[in-house]
Amino acid sequence: MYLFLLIPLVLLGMGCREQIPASLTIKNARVRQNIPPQRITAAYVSIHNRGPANALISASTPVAEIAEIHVMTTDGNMMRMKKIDRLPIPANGSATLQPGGNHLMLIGLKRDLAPGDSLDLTVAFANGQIQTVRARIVSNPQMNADGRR
Amino acid sequence: MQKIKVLLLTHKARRWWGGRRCTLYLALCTLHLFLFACQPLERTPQGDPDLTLSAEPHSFGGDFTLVDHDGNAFRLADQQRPFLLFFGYASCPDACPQTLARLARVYALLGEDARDLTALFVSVDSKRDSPEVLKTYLSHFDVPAIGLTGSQDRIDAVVKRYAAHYEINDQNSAAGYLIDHSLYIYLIDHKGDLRFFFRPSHTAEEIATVARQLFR
Repeated sequence: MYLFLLIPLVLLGMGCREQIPASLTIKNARVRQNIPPQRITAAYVSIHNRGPANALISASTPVAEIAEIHVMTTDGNMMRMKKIDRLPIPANGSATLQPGGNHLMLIGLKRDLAPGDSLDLTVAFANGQIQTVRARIVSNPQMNADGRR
Repeated sequence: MQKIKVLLLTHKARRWWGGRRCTLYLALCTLHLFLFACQPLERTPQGDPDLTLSAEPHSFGGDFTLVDHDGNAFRLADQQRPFLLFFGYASCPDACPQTLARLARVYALLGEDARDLTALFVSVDSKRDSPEVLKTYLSHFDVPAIGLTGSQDRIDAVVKRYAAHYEINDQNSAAGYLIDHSLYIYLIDHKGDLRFFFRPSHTAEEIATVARQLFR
């Protein structure tokens, strides 16, 4: 008998959970150390989406003049890079930016980025969510070990 | 009444299970064996399974003359030492540092065995990569590397000789133009002959395995 009361209550509870606004979590934010004299480098994040389909639309950091979203594809043995305005993030899915793949290109660095240090990275999404995360600066060999190849 | 029904169902389910337990067990064993047998194939999806250095050099590749990162002429045929050559450009944000880090790992694996094996970074970006830029850039990696540049025509001739490829990709990035390029690493022997080329899917361990055979 109690079961009949319990089921609607549980269902109601689940319904309430659906009401919580769509949320994106940013994990594993890291930046490749720059190689002097170059004033550019790449940043990577993992974006987890618990809501409807969304998109990453921009990024910024106080240490670089500009941050762009770049997608990288390997076409045969050719590496192709493309600047894009939005990176789609599927509903209840994720988007992983990682070495050897898609990345945020940081252009016009205002200082050299030393491994062990960290910086603020702000990412903005199509649903209006803007989030600032602390990204650690990772040495080049360590970044490679972390990557696809 | 309901209780009896439930009991009856449980009893039926038990009988069913008893009869098929053995079949299911065998099916699982077969599945395991199948997965186990497939494993070695999955490990190298694109890699060249044959990592033996053939005695014959490749028909492409060969001699060229460019300018090294100290501003001196560099002719391959005059070097008399082995090289790991690859194409790239210093303002490449991801792929080139990645290749250099992979080579650093190759050198760490080879240790003493590396002898005079030297990496050659041939820039496909003569406009931005001066010898000085290349020298500073390469000094940041644990790789004994020489940066090479030259007129774009000379670079293009080397690219063609090694069946490599690059395309200037100007799409209004704040970084100026980007360059799409092939990611092969070429193993050249002390005579200047191309002996092996590695694809991006080759690991540092595989590169080291092949490179060691040069010194046998």
